[in-house]
Amino acid sequence: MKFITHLHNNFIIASRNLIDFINPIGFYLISIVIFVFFFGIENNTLVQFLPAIMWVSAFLANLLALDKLYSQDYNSGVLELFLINKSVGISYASAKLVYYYIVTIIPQVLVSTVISLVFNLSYKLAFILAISLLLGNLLFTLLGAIIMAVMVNIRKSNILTSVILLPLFIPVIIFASSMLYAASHELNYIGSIGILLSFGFILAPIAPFAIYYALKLGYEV
Amino acid sequence: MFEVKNLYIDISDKTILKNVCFVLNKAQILQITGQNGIGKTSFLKSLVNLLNPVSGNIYWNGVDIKSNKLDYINNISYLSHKNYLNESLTVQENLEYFYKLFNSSFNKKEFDLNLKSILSKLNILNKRYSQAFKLSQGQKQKVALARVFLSNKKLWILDEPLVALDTKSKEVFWDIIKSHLSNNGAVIFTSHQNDFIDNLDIQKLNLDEFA
Repeated sequence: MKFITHLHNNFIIASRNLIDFINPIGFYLISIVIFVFFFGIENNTLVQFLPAIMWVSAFLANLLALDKLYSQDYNSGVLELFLINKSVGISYASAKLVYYYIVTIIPQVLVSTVISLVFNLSYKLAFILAISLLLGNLLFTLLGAIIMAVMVNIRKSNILTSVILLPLFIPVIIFASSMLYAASHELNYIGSIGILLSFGFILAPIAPFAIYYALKLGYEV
Repeated sequence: MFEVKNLYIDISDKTILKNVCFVLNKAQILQITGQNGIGKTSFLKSLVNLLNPVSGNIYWNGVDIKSNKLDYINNISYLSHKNYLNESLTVQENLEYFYKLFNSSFNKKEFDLNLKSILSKLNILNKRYSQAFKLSQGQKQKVALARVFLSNKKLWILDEPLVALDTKSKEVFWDIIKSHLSNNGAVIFTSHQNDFIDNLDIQKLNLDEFA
């Protein structure tokens, strides 16, 4: 019930602040377009590097979007009110994760799939790329949301976020890239999907609790 | 009903309040005073589970809240310096949102009736469907107070509730406080103002004595 209430309000707020929704996807598109101009449309190298370009662009776009995950609630003080009651706080964290994934990650994956097909990536590779982005960004969201919660009261924490997040995210990048490599060379990629999925299954139930306690700690310091 | 015993509060490893003790019974109101920066807000935050006291105990209905925190939390409503409003949501949406989060049941019809009555008393009924960012500071404070008044909680903990309120709104505020006390509720509030109504017996706790 509380989770649905939080989620519903997040969507109402998003519908009234469309620019916050458009910013990350706009940044993602612009970033890809810059790479496309750099490599040239006719060049085969572009197709070869397209998955990597999308991953780098998604990482940067998400870094930008994550920065705003709690900022509005923190500045208005609403967050403080949610932290008084544990069940309200944990349902807030869960709703934020689901909301962020739906509003930021899913549009990125849809755009990536369309771009992959426009640039003649095979259907199979486009599909695997979409899966890798869905799973990779799920882990990015979970890890990023915890780190942002730890640093909620630190102003201008962007650089610090990247410095902390990147080492944690390297295993995800390794498994995602090995998944794409295996798919493009007709090798078995199920193992990599399984590993990313298991990371997700481990982290997803823990993340809302970790976020709640990290936010609370931020207020107590 | 509510008792604080030997409470010590630290901020950044420095003890700011020592050995704070008081008892607040049903239908009683307590004003917390003290010079600026003495720790009034921190003290209130420690009462509402936002700051962990270094030591000491808080009892709710005779039970230490450490052993039954949920029951205690479900019986308090807190107003802070910040108005806790989501600027993009309307007054109605904000108040409905908080009510749903902090109350176990929600009856839309009953809620709307109570909301209309409270907003009307506070003279902001015409702002019911206005987004919060369009409100003045005083109107935002009234909405924040409306959240507490609608909450159906026994203990109201209010940090500077009279800030930005005009004379008429202060009168309404005291009327609502009196009605809450007559329903066996209790109130703890901080304020530097002393222009309160005469027929209310307000207990005082000066935090300067515990610094």
